[in-house]
Amino acid sequence: MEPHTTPGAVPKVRARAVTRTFGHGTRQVHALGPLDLEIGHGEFCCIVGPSGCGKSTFLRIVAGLVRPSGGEVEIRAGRRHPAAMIPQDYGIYDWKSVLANVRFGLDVQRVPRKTADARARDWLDRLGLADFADAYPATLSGGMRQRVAIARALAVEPEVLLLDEPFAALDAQLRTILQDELLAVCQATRTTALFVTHSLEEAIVLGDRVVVMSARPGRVIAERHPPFERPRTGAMRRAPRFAALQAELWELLRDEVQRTGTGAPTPADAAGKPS
Amino acid sequence: MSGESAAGSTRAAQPARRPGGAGGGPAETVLVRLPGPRERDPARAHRRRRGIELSLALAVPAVLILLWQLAAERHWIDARIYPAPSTIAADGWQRAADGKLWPDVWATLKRVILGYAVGTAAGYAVGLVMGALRMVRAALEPLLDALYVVPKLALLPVFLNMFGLGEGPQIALVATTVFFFVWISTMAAVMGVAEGYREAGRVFGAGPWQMFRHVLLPASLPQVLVGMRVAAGVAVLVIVASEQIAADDGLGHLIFDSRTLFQNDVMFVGIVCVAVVGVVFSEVVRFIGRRLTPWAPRDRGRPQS
Amino acid sequence: MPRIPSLARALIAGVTLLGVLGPLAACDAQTSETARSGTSGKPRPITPVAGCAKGWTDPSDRSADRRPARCAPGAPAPKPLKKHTKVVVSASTLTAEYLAPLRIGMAKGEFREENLDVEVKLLPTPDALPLLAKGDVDVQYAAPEAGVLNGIRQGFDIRWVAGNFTPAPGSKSGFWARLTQGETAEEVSLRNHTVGTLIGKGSVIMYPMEKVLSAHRADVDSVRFQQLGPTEVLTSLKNGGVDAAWLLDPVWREVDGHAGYAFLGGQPRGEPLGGLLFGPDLLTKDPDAGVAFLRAYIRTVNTYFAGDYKKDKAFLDDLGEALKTEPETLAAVPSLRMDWEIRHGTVERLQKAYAAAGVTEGDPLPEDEIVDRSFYAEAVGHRP
Repeated sequence: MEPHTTPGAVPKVRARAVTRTFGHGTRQVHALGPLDLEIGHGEFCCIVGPSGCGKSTFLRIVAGLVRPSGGEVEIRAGRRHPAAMIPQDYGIYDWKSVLANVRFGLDVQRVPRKTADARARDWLDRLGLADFADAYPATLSGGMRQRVAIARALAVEPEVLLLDEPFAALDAQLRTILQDELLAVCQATRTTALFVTHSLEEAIVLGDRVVVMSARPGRVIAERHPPFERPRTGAMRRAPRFAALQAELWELLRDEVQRTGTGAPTPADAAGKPS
Repeated sequence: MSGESAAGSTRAAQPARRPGGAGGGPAETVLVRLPGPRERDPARAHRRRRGIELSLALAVPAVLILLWQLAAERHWIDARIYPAPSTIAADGWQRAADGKLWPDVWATLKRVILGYAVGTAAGYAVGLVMGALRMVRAALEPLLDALYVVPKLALLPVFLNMFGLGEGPQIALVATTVFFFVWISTMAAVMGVAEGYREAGRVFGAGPWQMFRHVLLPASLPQVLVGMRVAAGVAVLVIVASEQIAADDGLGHLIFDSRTLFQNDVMFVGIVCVAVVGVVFSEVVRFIGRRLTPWAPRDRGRPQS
Repeated sequence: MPRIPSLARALIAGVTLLGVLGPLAACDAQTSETARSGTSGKPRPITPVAGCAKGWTDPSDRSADRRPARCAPGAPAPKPLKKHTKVVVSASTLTAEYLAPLRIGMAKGEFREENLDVEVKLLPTPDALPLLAKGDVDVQYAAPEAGVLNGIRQGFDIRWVAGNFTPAPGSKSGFWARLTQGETAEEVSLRNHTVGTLIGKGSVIMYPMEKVLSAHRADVDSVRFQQLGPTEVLTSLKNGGVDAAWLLDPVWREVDGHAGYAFLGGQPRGEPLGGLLFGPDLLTKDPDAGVAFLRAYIRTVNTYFAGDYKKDKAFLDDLGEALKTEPETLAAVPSLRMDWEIRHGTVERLQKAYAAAGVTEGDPLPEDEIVDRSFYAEAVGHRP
């Protein structure tokens, strides 16, 4: 079954005319908006856009870390903290073991220790971290650390998964591997997800929908639905439709990137650099 | 080839002179990069290096002490004013054997430990609150910054008035000194906890106590421990100075009393004991710190962050 | 590979070499090798001095009402040194009244007349003592405290060469005790009292203190000594911090006459306990300067401090200026009895008190290794 938003269904996350400005007076920066976006239950929505377009800001508004300056965001949720976030870095805690890190969200929810441990270990297994349960993050590689961050976020079974360029600090090869792993896991859980990235490839691999944002102040200028059926595998990268879609998205994006004045990366570069 | 430094060695072979005219251009040298002794036998090189380091660490202090001893015996220095190490050791041993040394050591230790405990607890609490709550920081920081600069020894007469004679002023002095070190490092540590750590906690819905327990406390601990180690050394320093003025036992009193009585060997025994106490105390704090922060990276023989 | 070990070896050898050469180059360790009792070499010639017939009293006379030695005013006359000599004097306070002869002598030019240039340095006694022993300080205004005797025992060349004063008959500087309910001065028991003092057990007041204690059912071991600063001694006595204290002039005035405080005894009447100490410079190297210094000092006493010097208002003002004190404060207590002589047996009694207090070790030193009367004897022309 395609987890596509059926028209008329109540969206999980609805953003209406969301704007955000920073600072005040003459130094005020209009970072985001007005932005309108709806994400359906179980939908994996990717947002791409040039640096500074406010996509991370939007994510943080949905997470509840920042309030919008205008407009509103509605989230239909069964609990007060329905979201879990996987940031680019500083995600996991150096002073907790891998197991304790993954268990953190459950500890906050006061889940009894034994249950929490069991669930955490389950997730460690799923992400290949079982051997490192008692290790400290400082001894792990970057890729392993991000796996821990993913496990931690998913362990609480969030209603909304928020990912802010989680793989940007990793090298290209590791990135591909982790994309495939995330793909597998999210297809199994069918969590509603909002994924912010610079990488068009990543967006197409993971997303049910790819939303393209304009340069600052960011607004939605286009969206596409990658025509690949679920369950997907990494092999889809070699499909000709993949490259075509990637080129199409790049065309939409390039003007915006040049307008931002960050230089004109080539389509190949658009897969890579963190903001 | 006997090259030593860095990685391997480089030998410059004799310049290979092209026979005149052939090909023209400057004569070329062939540089060869070869393994050096460290690469050929890394284990041995490592052992040897560790051996040298250890020997130096022991030899340099030993040589200095021997020099001192020699100087005292050959009368290059006046041994009545600068007693020889052997005299100091003998005198110290005698005092310890007579049971006269331990009471002073214990008196000083008691004051240091009590004052340190009070100062650390207060400094940590205040630093935590001021680091986490902006309003409190705004309210208290100017006041505490001003007090920080006041030499605490200058406050001893004030403490004498407040607490009368006895242990009170001594412990208060140590506590006040320690307080400022621990407060500053705690506050800086809490403020320095990366925003990302806190945000992760917030998104998961952590309440203030959970945020403290899971995030703020452990994240700030390494830096707090640095402040505590510095404070340990300073606490011993301060107690020695204050015991001169307001105590009738303790190592500081021993030092200054023997100075008044012109008994330099006893004075040096006191000085050596104070040094030992200071080192031991500091190392104990460091050891406890390492136990509390198992995740922090180790650096053998260096201050633990 | 010979280089690494040889590097370490070279390092150690270098450090040793530096350590050996350094002190040799410094070379000022000669002061350690001084002979004991350096003054007893060949006896110096002593000529009688005009006006000083009564300038010497029998040292064994310790009666409380004896008259101190005195010469006519202006005697002994100056005998200027051939070379202009600088003398460094150290004192632990510049405002104490017993320093008055030095300060007035300097002000009135008595030392200048001997061709001496006196410089006074303010130094606490424990800091001045090593300097005196080394010769950086020539004269120390102090007393034969336990520290001084320990120094002499270690072989330093220091001697007590002149006394300072004995208390005036009306003075109550000394041991004051706070009385609890029902106690009187005769009956107070001092056992388990806390006594506040300025210097502690090594001070010369241990000797009179011991007499007071034993007269009141106590001794050095059954009381607790608390060392305090000068301002704190009185406050602590008043607010209960200590049960008794040794109060100096004029501090005792504050509790004199108040019920609840009793004066139990002070410095012995006929016996100075402090004065001037000479170091190796004036004892051995330049005894002429030593005699000249004492001559000027003694002349000052004879000229300005012979009797009750506080009777003269104009002189009181001079005193106030020299000691940086208000003349009224000075007038509040009686004149000291300046006495430059040293009694026989004082150091023996002091050493007994120190031994009881546990601040000296070993057998007591004989008097002639501590006291040297030859300088003031020569100054007043007394032949033994």
